[in-house]
Amino acid sequence: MANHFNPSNLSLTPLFIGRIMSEMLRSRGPALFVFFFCLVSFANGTVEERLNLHLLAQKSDLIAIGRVVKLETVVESGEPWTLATVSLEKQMKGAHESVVQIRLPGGLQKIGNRILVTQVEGVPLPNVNERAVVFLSGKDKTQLALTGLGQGYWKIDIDQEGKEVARKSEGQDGSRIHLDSLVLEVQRVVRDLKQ
Amino acid sequence: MLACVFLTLPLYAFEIKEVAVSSTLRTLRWNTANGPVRITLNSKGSDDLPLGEVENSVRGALDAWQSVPNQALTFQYAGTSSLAVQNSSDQINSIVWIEKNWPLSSSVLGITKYSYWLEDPPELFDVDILMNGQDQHWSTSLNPGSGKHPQQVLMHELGHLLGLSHSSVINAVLYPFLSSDVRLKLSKDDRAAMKFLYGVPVLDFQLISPIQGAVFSELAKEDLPLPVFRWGNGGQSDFTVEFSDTKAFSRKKTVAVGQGTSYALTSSMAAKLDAMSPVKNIYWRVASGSTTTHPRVFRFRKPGIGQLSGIGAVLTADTEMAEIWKDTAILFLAGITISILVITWMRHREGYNRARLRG
Repeated sequence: MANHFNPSNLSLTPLFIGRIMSEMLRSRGPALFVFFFCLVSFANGTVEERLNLHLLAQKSDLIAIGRVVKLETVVESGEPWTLATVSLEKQMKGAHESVVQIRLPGGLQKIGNRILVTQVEGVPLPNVNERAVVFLSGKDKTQLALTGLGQGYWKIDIDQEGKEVARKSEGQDGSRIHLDSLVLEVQRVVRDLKQ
Repeated sequence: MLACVFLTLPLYAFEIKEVAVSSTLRTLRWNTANGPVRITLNSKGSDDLPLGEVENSVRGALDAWQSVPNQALTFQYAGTSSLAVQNSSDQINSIVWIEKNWPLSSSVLGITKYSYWLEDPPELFDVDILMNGQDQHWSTSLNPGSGKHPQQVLMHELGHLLGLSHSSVINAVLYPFLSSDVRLKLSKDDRAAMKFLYGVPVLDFQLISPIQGAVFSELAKEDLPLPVFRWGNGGQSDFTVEFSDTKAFSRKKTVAVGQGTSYALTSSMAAKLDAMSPVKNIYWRVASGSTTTHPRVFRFRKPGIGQLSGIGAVLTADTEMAEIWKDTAILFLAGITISILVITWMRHREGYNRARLRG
């Protein structure tokens, strides 16, 4: 009775993968099993751990740590936009700039004696003096947009241990990451993108 | 640590919009005393669909919300108009397909821009819904592969128009990711949210949300706002929220929340609950003095992989996850194919060698 692996015996059942592995182990294909296993592990590990940030970095023209120094609303064709002026401290991707302006949909309009607030679900609301890691798209440094809206704005806070942590803007109480770790990871991703 | 953060999947709670007015948080909603909320469709409709089909989708989405019983808000579909454009102060609540120069990420299907006067109480004044006609294909087919169903996305955006934020309940229309199948009905969570905003206030000491049996995205990898637990005070004060993995509350985590009638889950408590029962049901109830409410159960679940594009104004992690899984699947299948080819070749070579030996 042949003990080697016979692909023609296989059908596309849920046990397909298990059967392949089992047949490989029983036959003369352990090396192939290792190859196959490594390929799959590589695929899962790489994409799940890195690609969220990878895509964010890939789609961004500028990635930096900055401080919001000014907020103003402009109304264009009846639509308010908030222009957030950000002084950059450290850049991880993009041309070297000291100050950039981010355009965010929504803002405040004074109409008569009343204030009309316009917001867009998912758009972060930065505050003056707030520090953040920003992922920005666009070529004009006065017309930059947050990449992925809230995904591109990681507010920087100090945690209970006195360390700087960054969290995505949507997260009111969500997970955080130490700023140093985030910077290192971003730098690594940017390096990978260049290669 | 990094792995945990970058594996995060968005998690939202059944949430309402609250505005700080005079140092107090006020719920943002329409003033139902001002009559029905009129909705107007831009007369161009969508490039992908006949105008009649778009109108049917608008009506269907409005009807879905309108059919929630025991609430005071009414919609009025005002038909189509070329005046229905994005303008935050024209008091025309517009639905507009943007076919060129979509201002946001391509994976965003639609956004809701809402305006309100910064007054007490804050009232919604003008809300416009913008649909991404540039990057997305729209279809009224129930086959999700044919395109995005306008009614499904409009139901989500109309939820924002009503004053709702995203929900972390997985099957809710307000869940921030489009389901892999076309769903044109509100979930219990959506209906509860509508009643919470526009229904008769709950005066008894009883739980409001999350509803019985709500299924949330897994909390261990939380990233976005966590669930908010709400109850009616029924004349009680000084509340304690209790969580347990048993209905008898033999083991429990308790949080004293004072006199408020809601508790926003913290990340540390979320981690404790996740550790307490990562796959099982978790019961919650509220205590005030010696009185407790009847417990309700909810559970956490990993979000499905089949959730594709993000809706609302968020480039979702799931969108990226879908790409990730697609890439993974391609690599996986490539691995299988290569393995089979090599094995087949080895087998043939073995047979050839045997034949040679016999010969």
